Amino acid sequence: MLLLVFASTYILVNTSWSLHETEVKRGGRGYVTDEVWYVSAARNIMIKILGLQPKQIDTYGVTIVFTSKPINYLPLIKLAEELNLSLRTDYTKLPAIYVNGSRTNVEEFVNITKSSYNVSDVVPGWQLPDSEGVNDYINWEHPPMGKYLIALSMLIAGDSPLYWRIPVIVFGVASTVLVFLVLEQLSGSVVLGLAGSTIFILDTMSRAIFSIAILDGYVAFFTVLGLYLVIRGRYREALIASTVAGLFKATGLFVAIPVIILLARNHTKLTNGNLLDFIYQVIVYGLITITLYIGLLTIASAPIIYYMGYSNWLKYSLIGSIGWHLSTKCTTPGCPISSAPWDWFIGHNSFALYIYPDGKTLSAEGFYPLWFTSIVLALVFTPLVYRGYRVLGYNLLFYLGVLSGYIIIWILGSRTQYSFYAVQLAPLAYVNLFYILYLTTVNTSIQVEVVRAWRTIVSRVRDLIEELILIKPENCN
Amino acid sequence: MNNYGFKYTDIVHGLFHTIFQPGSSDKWYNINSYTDFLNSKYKCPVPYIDYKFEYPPIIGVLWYASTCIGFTIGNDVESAARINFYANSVVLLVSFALIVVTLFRIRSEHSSLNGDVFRYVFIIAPSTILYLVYNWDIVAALFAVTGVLFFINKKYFEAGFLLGLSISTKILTVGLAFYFLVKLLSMEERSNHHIVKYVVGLILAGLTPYLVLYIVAPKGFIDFINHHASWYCENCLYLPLTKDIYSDLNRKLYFSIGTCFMFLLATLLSPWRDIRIREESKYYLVSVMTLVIFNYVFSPQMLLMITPFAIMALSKPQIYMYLMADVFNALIILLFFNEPNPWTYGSNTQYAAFARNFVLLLIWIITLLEIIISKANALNDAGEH
Repeated sequence: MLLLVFASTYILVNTSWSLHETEVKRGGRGYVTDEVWYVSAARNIMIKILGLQPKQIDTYGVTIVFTSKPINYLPLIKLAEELNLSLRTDYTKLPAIYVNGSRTNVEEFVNITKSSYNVSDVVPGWQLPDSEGVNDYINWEHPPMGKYLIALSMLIAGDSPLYWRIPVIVFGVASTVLVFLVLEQLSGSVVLGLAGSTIFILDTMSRAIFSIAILDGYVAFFTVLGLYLVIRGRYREALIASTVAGLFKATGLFVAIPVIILLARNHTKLTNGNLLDFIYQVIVYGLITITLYIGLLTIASAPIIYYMGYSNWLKYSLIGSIGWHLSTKCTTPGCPISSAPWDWFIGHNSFALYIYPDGKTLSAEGFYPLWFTSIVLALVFTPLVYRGYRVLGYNLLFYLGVLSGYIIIWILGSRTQYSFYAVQLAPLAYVNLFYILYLTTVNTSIQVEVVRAWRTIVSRVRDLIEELILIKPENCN
Repeated sequence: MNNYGFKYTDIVHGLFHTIFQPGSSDKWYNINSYTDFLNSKYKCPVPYIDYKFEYPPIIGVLWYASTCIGFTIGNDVESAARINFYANSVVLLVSFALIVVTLFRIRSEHSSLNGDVFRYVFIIAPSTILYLVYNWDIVAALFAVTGVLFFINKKYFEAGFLLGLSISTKILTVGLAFYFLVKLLSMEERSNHHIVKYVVGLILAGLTPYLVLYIVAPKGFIDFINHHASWYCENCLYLPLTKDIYSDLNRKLYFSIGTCFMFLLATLLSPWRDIRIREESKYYLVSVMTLVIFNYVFSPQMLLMITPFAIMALSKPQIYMYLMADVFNALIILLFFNEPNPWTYGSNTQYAAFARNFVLLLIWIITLLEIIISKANALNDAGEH
């Protein structure tokens, strides 16, 4: 276990560090893909809403934002040289400069600049990305928990790329451990747990997403946590895990789909209920989940509500968020490549997370042959759940349940989903793949049971079709 | 007979001319070797080392020998090309003859195999005639078929070795080698001794040549890999779906389906105890077929790797279906030179390829279903007893 923790930490820190080094070498601003938005939002929440300052190590830096782009930077360049500061003036979309050096000199530079130019904002910390309005961006459409964690890391460790990524790396390591525990719990085999969790963290998707400060890694963690709790029989805790996942990104709530089904089924069985009772229970647990989620979200968003006002928060963060998740976003040329959920299993239309100086791309793409195999096996083995393989059922319900969430929002209008969302499915894909591999190895009779189960399904479908087209012999009665 | 498709062979036109004709220096790694070669000072240039070569190591060795003979005996490039072609043709024709002999031997030794002699006539199908002395697929098929013979005669080292040779001739028979490994591993009376023998033979002939190639000519090896990794969809099954021969999806679908099949073969579809050769021959067929028909590169000559197994495994109506696919496959090269853009979606060549792929896909599905049903019945019977 310890080895697994060390190995996964090394893999994620190494990936994160190599991205940082590449950015430093190419003179970039250090942000990888949507870190531009999430990290900036975290910094803005920290400074503008919570009134805190990011920790800066060795040197002190600020981004000075002007009301409009200054015509002449020469006096500022000269001033920076006089004060022995490094200055960056190559912003194009954001009318800003970044200055870095000793804190006293930077503050003097800021005061002089303010007296000579129309400065609209001074943002301390790591240089801002070059995106319009990023100094005010709060990322309303996503819940705040992920950004709080990034901000906490900036506050405690420091405001630089590797530190922003500490929380997600920790969640990545924890997810790896949970994949191990789930597989070990399901099979009783440590070897299977080690094999599955190792492949999970070596997968290009997991490795990349758990190495950069975006929200989907957190969601993946709570997803596998939910599965772990379910197989331990702790459904209510799993429901809480799903709502907490939703506090990072609303798609985390997809975890509630399988959990609600399990809770409703349990309740219906205990009360000897029928289908209507089951549907009623699904509605009840659905409402409980929504209430719990809104309650937790309101508590977690309290500082933001205080900052923007309750009605604005309701409009943008709650109702607006639903609209955002169900909308088709950027589709014009130059937009990032989007994909449908089924594309994720064949590595099609993968989102480019980072383009290296040599033109190679780090894509949000899993080991797609294994992902494809995993989903095919899931579909092939699903009928076994009705033949007594309950444990397999938990995993399949989670896997297909979470996936169905993405398919449902795709049907409802979210046609521009990005492949990095699929990291939420990564632990489930590997748990499923390795568990089925294990089942078929230790139990050869499972093979004939699968065939029998499918034969039953085919014959029932055939009967139904025959009845529908009225070719089935009618009952004499 | 004026159709250029009848004359075209990869050996001469696709390979020899593109490497050895004056003006092909871009294929060569070292301009001095190339100049020496053009000046007839260097008669035996080495594939992978002196020039790029996109075929696996066994063919590399054969090619080196045949070109060396050609340039040593021949007076000019044209006569060398002819000698090279004749030398390779001899190897290919002998391989074909040996396949026929091996197939008959398997048939005579195993009476439960589909028995009618008539079906063996189909080995001389149109595609066999057109593509026999065209490329080296028949050599890979020979190693694979003889590997099968040795395996069913329980000579595991030899079987592994021959299947390894097949992989080192054309990688696509790796599915068959994998099937036998699964079979050895899933046998109830599993013998580690047999497994070791098989794996050693397989590694010796199927992996070592590639390793040696990588060590001796790393650049040539990388170029060989890159050549195949970057190749477009050549008559592939996915073209009606992607409509773009350069789409990455063609490749991704192949690797996804190929891996999935291997997993299924190792889990759900693994062979059962006391499987008879009649049922097992279906496994041979789908193991080879899967990696060929789902490949993003399905050159027409590749069908020759499937044909011997189709003859062994298919029922009579299915053989006729296969013959249909074979005819469409033969049409590919005959149509190819009669249109400006035969590679792309919408060309007559691609319609022929689509028809071939569709029929083969049907055969693949039917065979797979037959395997599943046979397995279910066998396991049912075993459970009942």
